[in-house]
Amino acid sequence: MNRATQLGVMFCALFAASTLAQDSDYSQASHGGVGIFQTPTARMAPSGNFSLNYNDLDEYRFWSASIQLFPWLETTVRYTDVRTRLYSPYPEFSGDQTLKDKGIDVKLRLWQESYYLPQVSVGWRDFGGTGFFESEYITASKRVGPFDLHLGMGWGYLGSGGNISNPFCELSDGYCQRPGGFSGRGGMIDYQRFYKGPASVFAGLEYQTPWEPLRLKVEYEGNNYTKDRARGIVQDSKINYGLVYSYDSLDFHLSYQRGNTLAFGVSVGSNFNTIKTPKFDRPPPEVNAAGLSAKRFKRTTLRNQLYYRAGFVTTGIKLDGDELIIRGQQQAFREFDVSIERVGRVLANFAPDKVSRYRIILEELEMPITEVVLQADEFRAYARYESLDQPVSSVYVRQTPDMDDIDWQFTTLNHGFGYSFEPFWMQMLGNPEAFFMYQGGILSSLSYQFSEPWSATGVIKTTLLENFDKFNFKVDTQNSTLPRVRTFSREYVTRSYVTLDKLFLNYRERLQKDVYAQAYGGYLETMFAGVGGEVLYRPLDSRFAIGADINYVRQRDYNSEYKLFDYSVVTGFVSLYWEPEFFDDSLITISAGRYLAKDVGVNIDVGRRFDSGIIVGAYAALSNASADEYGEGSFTKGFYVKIPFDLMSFKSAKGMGQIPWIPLARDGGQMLKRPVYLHGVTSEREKPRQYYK
Amino acid sequence: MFRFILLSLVLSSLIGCSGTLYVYKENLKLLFKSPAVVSPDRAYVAASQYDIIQVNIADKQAIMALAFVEQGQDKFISADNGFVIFANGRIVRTAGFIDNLLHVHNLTADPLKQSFSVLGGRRWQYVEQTNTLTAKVNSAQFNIEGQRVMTLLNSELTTVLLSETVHPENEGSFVNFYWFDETSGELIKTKQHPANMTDAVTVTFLSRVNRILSVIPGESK
Amino acid sequence: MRLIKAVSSFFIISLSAFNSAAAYINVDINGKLHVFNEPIKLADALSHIEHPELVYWPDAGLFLASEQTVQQKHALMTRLINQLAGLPAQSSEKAQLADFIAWLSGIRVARRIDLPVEFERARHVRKSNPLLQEGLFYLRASYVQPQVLLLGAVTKYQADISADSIAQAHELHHNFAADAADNSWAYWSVSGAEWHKVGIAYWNKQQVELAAGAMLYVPFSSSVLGGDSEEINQQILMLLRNWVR
Repeated sequence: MNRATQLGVMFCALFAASTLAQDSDYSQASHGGVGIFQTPTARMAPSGNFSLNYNDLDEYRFWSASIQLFPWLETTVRYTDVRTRLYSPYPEFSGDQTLKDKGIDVKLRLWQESYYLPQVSVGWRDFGGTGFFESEYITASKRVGPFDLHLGMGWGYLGSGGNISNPFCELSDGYCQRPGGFSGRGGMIDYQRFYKGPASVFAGLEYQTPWEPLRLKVEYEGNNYTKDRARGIVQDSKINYGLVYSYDSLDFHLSYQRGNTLAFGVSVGSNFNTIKTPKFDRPPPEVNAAGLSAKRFKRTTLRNQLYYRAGFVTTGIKLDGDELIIRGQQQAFREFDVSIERVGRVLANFAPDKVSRYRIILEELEMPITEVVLQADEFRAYARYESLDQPVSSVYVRQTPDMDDIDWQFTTLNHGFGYSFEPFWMQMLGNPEAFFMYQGGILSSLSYQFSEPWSATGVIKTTLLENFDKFNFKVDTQNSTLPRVRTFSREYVTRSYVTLDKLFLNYRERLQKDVYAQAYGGYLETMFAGVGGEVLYRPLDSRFAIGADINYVRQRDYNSEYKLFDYSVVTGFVSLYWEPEFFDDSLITISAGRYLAKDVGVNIDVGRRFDSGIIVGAYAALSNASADEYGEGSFTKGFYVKIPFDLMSFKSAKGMGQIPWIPLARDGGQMLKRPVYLHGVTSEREKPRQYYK
Repeated sequence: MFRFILLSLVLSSLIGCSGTLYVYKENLKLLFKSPAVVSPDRAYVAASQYDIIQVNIADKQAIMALAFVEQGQDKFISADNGFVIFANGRIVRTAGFIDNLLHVHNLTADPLKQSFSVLGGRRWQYVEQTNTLTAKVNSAQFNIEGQRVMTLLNSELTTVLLSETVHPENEGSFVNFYWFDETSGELIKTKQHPANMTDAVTVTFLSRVNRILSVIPGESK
Repeated sequence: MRLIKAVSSFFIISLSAFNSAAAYINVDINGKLHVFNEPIKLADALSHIEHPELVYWPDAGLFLASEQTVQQKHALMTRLINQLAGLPAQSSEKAQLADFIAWLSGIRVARRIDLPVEFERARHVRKSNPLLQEGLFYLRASYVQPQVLLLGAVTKYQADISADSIAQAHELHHNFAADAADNSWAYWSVSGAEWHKVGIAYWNKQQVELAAGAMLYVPFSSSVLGGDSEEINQQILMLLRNWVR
């Protein structure tokens, strides 16, 4: 791009629009999630909102992340630091680290506000953990001009003050007392406690001052702090009040709680639907009135132009009378419509004029995934703004590529080396030694493609940042009756800065029009080596896919790059992939089979993709390993966030980075991290999202 | 033996230039290659086929060329087909930017239609509309600030500075500046705050300056 | 024989030539019909507008006559007439709805082309300058009037507003039909292409400043349109998108 054009592009592109003032910008409560201070409200943040909060309340410190997955569902995860207590009575185990707790909150909106009715939501706080703040509540909010009024009823922590009698207790005696303790080893959802015990009413008021960044809040809470984990909290007043000051995407909170404690906090907000980075890609080429004459058509020129102007790596070209067929892989543009538009424009300029139809076969790992057919004259009219049809999806047709072998006139060497670098980040939270242990670095991957369909790949993990020297023990002290398939994680991580992460052979093939298969063998992941295979049935543009995988693996020796332990297992799953219609842009994966520790069960993974491409998901693995066998946490669960690379880049790019967040990894319900997932490889089979320029 | 294989894999991956790495490299290039802010010199302006203006916004600069002069409006175009349209020296419309100034209401009452010398103390009200914000009402008052000597295209020019203090409803205030050449009364430089831009826009009418300098006795062409 | 062949070929050729020549492009520019012999670019059509410096470009639009759009209007009117039947006779709601149906019958609709009409860019940028081929086009680029148009469940059809001031959406409610109007939400637009929801009640008031040339659609409440009122109001908005003023 020459200097002038670059300047020109930057000139127009950098004056980002200021967004319409968000009238529904509700502030976060001390524990995270939309609310006042101690009490939640029925309000919801706009869909896709993500807020990171820090609140300091003297005895407690809360770090929380709240995300509005859908307009009616708010989820919050939280780490609590109880300053006044130690993590354990054993300094040799946990040093002087203070008591910590993790918690998850969920809030569901029952109905929206209208002229006469308030907005009503129900919620569960701190469930599925050791429940320092476990509560259930129902709350209503109504707005009158600049005032937002709230009224709610809470059970558990929110209701411990007992300022009213529990209505359920009136109905049944079983609800009058709240059972203590936790089921399993913590980490289970303790249904048997819900709505039992004392209940309280709480209320709140928010006032939007005439000065836009400032809001005042006051609440009457139903808690009495007598059963708090941080012992000795004195409550001089049931009224808490304070303010919120907004500056850009930051919210500053200041409050006076319990009549004696000054609390402060800060929240950083963003929205996964609207986040984007301006792109400085070369603009799409303008399309000429006609293609090239037959004499001037050159396959090498076409291939080069497809790469430089459309990010398309061509592996095959065939010109057959009035049809031009190309196959290859899109390397640069993540959105399907953008990719097809660019490829089409290059074809319109560099294909022979007599061609009336373009067929583009999109591949991944040398397997044909989707085929797109463009009628040359329709597309040319669209690209030259001579037709009034918009968008580009009105001029292309997606279909399943044929099984027939095409007699390619031009193919690249379909064997050769490939390289890639990817950063990685892994974190373990809530360890006894140090609260937050992390490891980050680069995964360098080198692969060699033999003539299809075989390839060999090696991945080296280079650690650049880590704080594992904080580990006191190498062996997990909690005894587990299950085979230790994942609890040696520290040993694997601390062996060396440079380790061989993967080294495997991969075979893949499309068996039928809609059936893909692969097999792999070698060192498949950090902790396991072996052989395995997968089959996936995935029709084009379908909401469903079904697959099955089976693997025979042996555990890798954590003291060596290549040796193996004796432990071996046959692990495999049947998986159903479903993109439900009623949730926008979500994927539910249900896998049933045998886990690494030889336990049998079902894994449920739910992921939501936002407009920016960011994917937030959670999974739970239910297995027949009992809570006792499993250990602390009772069952495997975790969250993950996948961020597309081009959100952090000025150029379009494909590829995503994943940040997993596993509260505590034990041995039950653990799946093998297979080196290649066919569902990801065939992602072009899903119906493309509407792309709005 | 194994270590050797490991080492060669590490080394070969360092040489690589795959998709992700390419993107990182390109990004570094974009970040470090910020445009050097260099004003064009007189020879360049004189040689230009079209009337040009220099537009500065924050630390960015671009040259725009006159595309149309129609019905009292001067319409300048940038390299990426962005338009900035002036009426009597005021930016009244833009096109092609991420957010555009769509319309300015009540332009028939714009005091800038008259000669700058009578504008001291004049007030007026107008409404701006952009793509993203709803309409914005502005109350403005002019004030003649007096003579200013400016150096443009390496020469000195005597100008009269006119300021326009604008109070948008329910917001702070800002000041637009207009520098008129004392002798000819032409607007040669202005600094304005159209509603679609977060930063002020400074526009220097380079070709007009060149023409004015050409008729001053003693100045070389 | 050869002569007959020659003459008939001549006729056939000239007949087809005549047929293709008969494909005129008709463009109704601000109410005046222009006929062109061959496809023209939007920029050329725009050059026929007088005093473009006075035009309110934000609400300029290009439409293509479409039988389908007209049928959609008739279907919507039928649906509204059916709703009328269910309302109590002599009620103000019925009168309001009847007024609106009468207004609907008088408006012209055509398929709006999803392309902002940008006067300068159409003359300089290919993307903003499509070729108009085949059919009857409506090009609207009119001067701004000092009023906000009020549509739907309203008692007055415009609110006067001078060129140097604005009106808050929620302050226009004295023009709304008290019984028939939705008391919480309204929709506003500058271009006619995009309609934005705005809260106008005591509990959801939003600052939306409307300048001269804007439009406000006040939806009918569910007491008038029944259980499907949400859907019917959306259909009305779709039709307003295609309204050629």
